Amino acid sequence: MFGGIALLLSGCSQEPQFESNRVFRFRVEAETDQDQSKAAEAVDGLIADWFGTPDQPRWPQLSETSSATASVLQVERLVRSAGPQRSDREDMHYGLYRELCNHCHGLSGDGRGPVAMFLDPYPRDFRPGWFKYKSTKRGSRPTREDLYRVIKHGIPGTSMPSFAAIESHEQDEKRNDDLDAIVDYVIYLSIRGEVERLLLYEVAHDEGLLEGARARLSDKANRPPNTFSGEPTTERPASTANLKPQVAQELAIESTFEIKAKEIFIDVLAKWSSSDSQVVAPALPAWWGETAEHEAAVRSGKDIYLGATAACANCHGKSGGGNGLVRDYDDWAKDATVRAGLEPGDRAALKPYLAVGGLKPVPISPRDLRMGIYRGGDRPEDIYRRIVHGIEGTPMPAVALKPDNPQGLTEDEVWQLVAYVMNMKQQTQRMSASAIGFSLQKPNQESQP
Amino acid sequence: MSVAATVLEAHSSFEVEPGATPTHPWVKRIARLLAISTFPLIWLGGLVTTYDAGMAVPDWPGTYGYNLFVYPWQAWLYGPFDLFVEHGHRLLASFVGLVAIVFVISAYRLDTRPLIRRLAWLCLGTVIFQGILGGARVLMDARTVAMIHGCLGPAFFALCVVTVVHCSDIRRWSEVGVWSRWFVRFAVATTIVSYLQLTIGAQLRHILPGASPKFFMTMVHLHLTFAAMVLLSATILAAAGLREPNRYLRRPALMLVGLVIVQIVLGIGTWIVNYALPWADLAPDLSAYIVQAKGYWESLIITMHQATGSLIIAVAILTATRGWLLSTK
Repeated sequence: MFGGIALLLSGCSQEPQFESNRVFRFRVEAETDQDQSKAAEAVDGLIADWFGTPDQPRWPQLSETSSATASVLQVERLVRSAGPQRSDREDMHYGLYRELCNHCHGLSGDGRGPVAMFLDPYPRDFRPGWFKYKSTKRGSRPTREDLYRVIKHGIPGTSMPSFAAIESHEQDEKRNDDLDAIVDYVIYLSIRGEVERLLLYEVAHDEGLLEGARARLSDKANRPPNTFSGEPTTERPASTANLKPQVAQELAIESTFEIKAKEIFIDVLAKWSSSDSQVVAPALPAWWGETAEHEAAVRSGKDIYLGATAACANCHGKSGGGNGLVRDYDDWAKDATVRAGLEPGDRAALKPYLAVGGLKPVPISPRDLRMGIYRGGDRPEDIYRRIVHGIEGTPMPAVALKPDNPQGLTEDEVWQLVAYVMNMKQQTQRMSASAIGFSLQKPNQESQP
Repeated sequence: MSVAATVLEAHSSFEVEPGATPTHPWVKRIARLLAISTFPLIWLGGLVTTYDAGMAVPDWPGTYGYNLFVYPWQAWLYGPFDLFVEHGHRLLASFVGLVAIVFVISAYRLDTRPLIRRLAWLCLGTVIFQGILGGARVLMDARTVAMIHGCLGPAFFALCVVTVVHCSDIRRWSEVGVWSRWFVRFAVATTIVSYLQLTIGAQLRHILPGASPKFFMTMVHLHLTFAAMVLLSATILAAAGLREPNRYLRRPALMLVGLVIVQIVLGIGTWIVNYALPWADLAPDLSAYIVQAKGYWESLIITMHQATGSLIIAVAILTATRGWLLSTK
């Protein structure tokens, strides 16, 4: 019995590893009609060398990216979120990602945590770099503040929790930076995952790169184990005080394969470092909140909602109940199904996709606007951003705007649409109340349209 | 299963003699103290898991280099919450260990029956092994060990309850026996199914970071299946209990079905406070609820679900042991 227990315990302390992106490899193999195992192996090797493991994260150090890196994340803080959960006498918490995020988002940020199959929508896969709710333009990365806001407040109507309780346990004047540390780690996982994706794509489509990748793979035994001064260790620190981030030295870039990886890394990092310049900061119109004008705007907004330019009713339905005729999937579902030539609704055809770890595609539901639950935030400017830039990774499009598109909406018309959408909940509540025979309005309150 | 084996052994070795020596009052009291102090220990252990505070003290058996018992109380009470919970869990566990030692001594000094002595040694051995497992969980920083530790805790609690029932001399003072032997069989079955259900729940609670979604889904479906089995088994037991003339059998059987219903509500609550409503659109008024990670009520519900699981096993085994002892009356 004791032998069995010892055997069981001996397998308990194995260091977890980032999983290779098998779903994306499946798509690339479908596109190229070739086995990409060698390419994937080489890419995984380079990614592991550059970004480390879940317990020992690393950051590729390049002189030309140092300022961009500093504006995106604090490399030294990655150790706060990495590794297993623990805390010290100063109430400094480590392993934050595994404690708070891993259940849903998975070790590599692939949105395939243990609970993932039960959740609707599925947890976000950070690796393509697509984020739905942000203050920046479509196609841009979110700002750190956007990620912080989502983590702190959660997303209503989904399983994404609020981590406000973690923030509020700050003591004295010292800022509790647990949430900032999680933001760092999410960005780290996203950049790591996007570099992995793009590099695999390039290698699979370029014979020269594939040769370079193979050469690196066979040469690896003769190479120094990594380009970092701190050697990775599998020993767990006895005390959190001993934890130190791995200080990186300049990466040694030699082959064309590594040069391509470097280019991709710089491009991906640039998208993140430029996100602040992509922020859309809409200003509320002067009539907002002025009763008579606001009511007029709501009426105008209804016409825009039902009109052909915004075409909101196509998906959200005429009454806003989310019961339009369009049935579609989000980009995470389509990425390795539609783009691999598979029909997301065809269960038999999906078998090989599911076998490599893909989550069963679920049709995306247009929001029931009458419920007044706005996942991307309930401020007027949040709704404005959703309309003007759409929701990235979903079929929710960006509305055409004048003057770029003469057929589009003016900015004031967008605000009228915002006023109408935000009025839907109140309208629905009034209708429900009158339907059961009483009114929620105050006696002297005039009825609104 | 070792608990069931002990019950079997206990039953087979028990001498049914109305005039046999009664258990010494102090042995009874100490046995009760052992069981009563184990339940809050299970709560505290649950809080450790809920708050992921298992590694708030990185060394063992000491606490940050101090002997466990001389760690500055100000640093414990006014320090971080995780440290408060983990160190508190260790202190209470040490107290339970000390009570187990006192129980062994009292069993030898104040009681002559081999069964009570065997049970006392079993309690002490189990609590020591449980302590070593707790230490291994810290030193190896292994969640699998935490899961085994979490499963052994309720088994130890059940063992304490068995001991208390044996020390209660129920066959001496109970005037009525068991009306149907099926009652005892249902009670044993409920105990076994409840414990299996707890071990499946532990798989979900201590899920490893790299576990696959399919594994988790399988475990959730198993947990739901076993919840139905526990409810069915407890309902049959309660129905059988209604026909039992002995209130010491009828009451725990009825209490058990009530506990299982509470536990099912807590289980649904645990899912909601962890992952929100499964079908948000079906309940528009509740769909705006945002899960508060590490929130007070959330943590309380989750920990309560775990502790009630242990309580169900304890009440089931109490019913089974009483029934077993009275079935030969």
